[in-house]
Amino acid sequence: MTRRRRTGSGGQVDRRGAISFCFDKRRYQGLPGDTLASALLANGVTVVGRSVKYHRRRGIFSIGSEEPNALVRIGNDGQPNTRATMVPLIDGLEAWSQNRWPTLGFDVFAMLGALAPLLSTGFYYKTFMWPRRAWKAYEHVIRKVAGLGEPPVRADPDAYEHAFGHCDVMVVGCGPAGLSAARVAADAGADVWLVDESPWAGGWLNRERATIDSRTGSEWAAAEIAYLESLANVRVLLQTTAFGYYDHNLVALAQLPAAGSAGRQRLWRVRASRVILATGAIERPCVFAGNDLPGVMLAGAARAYVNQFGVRAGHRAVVFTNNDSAYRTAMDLHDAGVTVVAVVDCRTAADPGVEEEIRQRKIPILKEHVLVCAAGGSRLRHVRVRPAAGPAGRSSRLKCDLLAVSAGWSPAIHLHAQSGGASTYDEATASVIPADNRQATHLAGAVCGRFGLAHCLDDGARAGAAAAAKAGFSCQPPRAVARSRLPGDAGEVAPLWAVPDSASGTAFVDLQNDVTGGDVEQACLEGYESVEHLKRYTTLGMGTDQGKTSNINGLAILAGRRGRPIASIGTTTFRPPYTPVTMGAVAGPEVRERLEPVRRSPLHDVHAELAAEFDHNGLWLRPAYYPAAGESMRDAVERETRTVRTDCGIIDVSTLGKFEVQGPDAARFMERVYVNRLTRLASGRSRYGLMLREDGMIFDDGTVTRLDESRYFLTTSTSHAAHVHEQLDYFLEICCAGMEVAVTCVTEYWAAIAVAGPRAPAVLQAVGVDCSPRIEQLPFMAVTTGTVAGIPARLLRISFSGEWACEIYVPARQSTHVWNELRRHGALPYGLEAMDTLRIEKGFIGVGAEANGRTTPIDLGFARMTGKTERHIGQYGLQRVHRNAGNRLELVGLLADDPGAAMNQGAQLLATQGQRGFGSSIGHVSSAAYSPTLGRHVALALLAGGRSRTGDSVYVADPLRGSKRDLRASVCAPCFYDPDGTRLQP
Amino acid sequence: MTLAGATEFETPCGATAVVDAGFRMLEIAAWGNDPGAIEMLARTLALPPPLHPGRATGNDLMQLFPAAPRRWWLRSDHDVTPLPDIDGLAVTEMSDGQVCVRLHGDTARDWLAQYCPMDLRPRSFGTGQVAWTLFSELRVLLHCVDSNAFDMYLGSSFAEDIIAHCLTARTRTRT
Repeated sequence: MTRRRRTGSGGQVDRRGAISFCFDKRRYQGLPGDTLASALLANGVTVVGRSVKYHRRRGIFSIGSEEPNALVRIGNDGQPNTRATMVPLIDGLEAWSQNRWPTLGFDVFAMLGALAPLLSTGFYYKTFMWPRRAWKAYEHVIRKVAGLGEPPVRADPDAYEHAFGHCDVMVVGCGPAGLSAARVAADAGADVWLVDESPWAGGWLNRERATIDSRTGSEWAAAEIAYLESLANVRVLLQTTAFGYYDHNLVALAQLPAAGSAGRQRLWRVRASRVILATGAIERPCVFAGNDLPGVMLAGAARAYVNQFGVRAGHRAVVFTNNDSAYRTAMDLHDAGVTVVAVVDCRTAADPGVEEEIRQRKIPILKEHVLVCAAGGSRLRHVRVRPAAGPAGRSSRLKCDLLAVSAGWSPAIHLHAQSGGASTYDEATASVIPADNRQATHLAGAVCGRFGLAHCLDDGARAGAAAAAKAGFSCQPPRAVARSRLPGDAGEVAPLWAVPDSASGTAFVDLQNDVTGGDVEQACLEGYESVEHLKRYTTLGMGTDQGKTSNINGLAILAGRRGRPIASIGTTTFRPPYTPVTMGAVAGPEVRERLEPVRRSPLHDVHAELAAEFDHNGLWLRPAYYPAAGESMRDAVERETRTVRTDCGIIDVSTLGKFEVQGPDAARFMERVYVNRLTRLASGRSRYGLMLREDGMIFDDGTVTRLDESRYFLTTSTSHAAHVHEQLDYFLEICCAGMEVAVTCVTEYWAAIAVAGPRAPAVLQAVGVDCSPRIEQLPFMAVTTGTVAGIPARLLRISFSGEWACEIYVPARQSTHVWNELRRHGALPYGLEAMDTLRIEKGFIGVGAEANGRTTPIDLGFARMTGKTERHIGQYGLQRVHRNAGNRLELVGLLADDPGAAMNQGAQLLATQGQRGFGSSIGHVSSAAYSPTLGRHVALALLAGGRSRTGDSVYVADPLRGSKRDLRASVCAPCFYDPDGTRLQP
Repeated sequence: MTLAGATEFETPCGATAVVDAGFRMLEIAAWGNDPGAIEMLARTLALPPPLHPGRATGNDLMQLFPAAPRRWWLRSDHDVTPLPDIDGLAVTEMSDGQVCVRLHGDTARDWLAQYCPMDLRPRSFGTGQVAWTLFSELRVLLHCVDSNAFDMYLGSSFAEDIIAHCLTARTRTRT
């Protein structure tokens, strides 16, 4: 089979080698330099997939990334929807067809083709409306029957990278225009990046029999690339797709590893001073009956398979065209040994030169003829043609197994459009071409609608020079290149979108989405006259190819139906990505344990030695508890909690956000930032403080310590520290601009250890605390400096546990010594879980739990703090919220009637047992814990009108965790332990 | 990982990374737009001009990095005598909170450029220049020491993570 399809010579494949590969479990041979598509064609594989909706047989249709049909899965359970035209063949490659059951040859769902007249556009929307509840069943069946490939079940085995880049000139496209542009810009000294989605440089020069400088196009391209790669200021990235063009000339690239290498896919974000788009043009087909049969192919693709890969896509070919470029296909196929039955041209005349070339080869030209239909069973057997102006019923039959179609070329303006550039419809080339650039962009070659080789080379040189000059480099005039004019490369076409009177039921506009000309007309009849509506109603232009070969035909049919010129119809929006990019590349390497950076406390190693179980708190890794040998989490947490209540515990609180505020206006700034009054805070004293958002909701809580008249030390919650930092900077620059104050984040500098418990003063004395006043005499909420175990320290008498406590702040690298000394003198470590239990027992709020972004200080019982009249952030928001407060959620305590019954955080509160449904919830449990001190479960809750319900009963419902019984609990004050605060004193 | 003293290792790109935590760092913040205060401080410390945004200045004893508008970082590898009390400047001790990773070698710039979104080409970011940027996902202060060497300052708490996953990760390929 290979011998029959493969030409005896020519092409850029290595005929000395052989590559073995599998398609649908069957083994084939290919050659180095093949793509999967060319190798399949060489082996006579004509059917490579099934269509998305009707499961019609589909063959290879194109040569590049526009391929709508040949979508395969690479590897068993591998990446689906891979375009066979873009896969370089490697030894051992396994590919599988998609969307068929059980086999590609016999697909049960092909019966849907018989129902095609019933499955017109919008079928799902109209049919599966009733009964509404059955949609789930319908959806399951529809998804099973229709669609593209299935996502892999196993975890993605590939690895991905992200990278950044900067250059003076980025050239997208490695065809003649791109190469020419890159050379001129590089010779001017600019940093040039040259990217192309193909593994081979040269673009269409590889696919044509052009000559430049007395060399073949591919030889010229290879020499140019070799020269460019030898320059230090040029980076050439092949197999790299520029898939997105964003603001400020940011271009996103998806770089595939070299075929067969163990490299990684890399997603580049490249900022270029100037971008040259030399993205070329995409050949478009024509809409006629049977145009989706395997064997129908774009004329340029049929030509390329012969010229680049030495593969004949058929034995008897008919060429159907409205432009001169397809004549080259007839010539090249003929010269490769294919019998060209006829060239069917809808025009009255072609370029005399190409006509003469065809006649020399004795190929019949049927001028002013159109193709009525393509016909056959599993693949193309014959076509019917008739005079363009003749009666619809009379046609003649031409036997063939390859139909090469060209209805013109559509410039690949996708990146130009993504950059914000305007476009316009060009009558001469019957295509949409760029009109106006919005960014630092230059266009060169076929993307501008200039298709000739000479145009491309000239355009490229001009664009390269202009881009380099704009980037600040002076250019030499481009060197002269001896060029050959390709026959029929002028690009003029006689517009032909759809063959009139062709059977519209199987005349496909969009091969990938099974959208026919009839579907477009019907959508228009139903009122979907906008191109955007048409797209969404019919799915025209969706899918992996995004309508690269279909959009313009759909627009033209719509325009014809509406009786308006195409120019007035517009196009759909071009959005990134240009071609599909695997989600793994988008995610990059920052997944799983690398999803977020991890911060470690300066005492991390100490905690690890103590076998702490760690938990994430913001970005920090913090000890949750320290289990003794054989101890459960609950036992460990209860032990640690009891230790703090009865003895002395220490906890690493280095992760708290810490800031120093200094300057003559520090007090004014603090007054503005915090809701409570801080100007009257005496030096050497601390105060609990609340920061609000502008809308009056609590943003964060923490302590404020006044070190001296113009210097404050703030602590914030761990998880909010970064946000607080941003907010303080914002306040400083925007809300408090002009104040003489500086804010410095000192989170990393200070390590902090909280020592808590009735025996804490004794432990501190034993460790050796040198400060004034003596540590045991330091009043609650006072601060002093001194030394602890010989280390300079700042000591704050504050407590988050309800026990006598002191927070010791020492320089981070000296914290291990202090911690170890405290341990040596009997202090036992406790973790986050015990800390949470202690604060719930005491009724202290937690950021995220009670201060959840929707509660105000008044909701949480801090009304006393909000009385100041001085302006502060959130002042007006707070007033507005409580002016029409209604039944707001307020902080309360909950005690279940059954002391042993656990109430979970997030459980809902109900007024009546068993009540369910929207609006039945009157609040929720915000924090809950088992209190070993009290021997029962306790909870804090946010309850509508909560404080006025003290003493009432509510029901705690937790259906999401499988609880079937609502617990009855009584509402109480949100403090379960030492409400008078006597234990805070020495 | 021990941060006391300098730790040196090879990165996958062939550049050498030296992690150093044994230096002193002070943050100096000024209020108002009068540049006089910091210029006076620079004169007092015998730091050479110019005090230019985006450019470090220094001498054998210390270096002054512009860290933000009206904000500088003063790095010293030696003991610095207490800074003069200059009106309009706030001085905050940062020494224990920062780690410096020095990447040096022929491939350092290219490799660093993979992780940093900013333009690191010599003509955009040359010797002596300083900028905040992202390294992977972390905010770092980057100082171009010479054509093949960069100092990257980051919070101590991130050091272990960044060294484990970026600087020593063997799976990262070269460009």
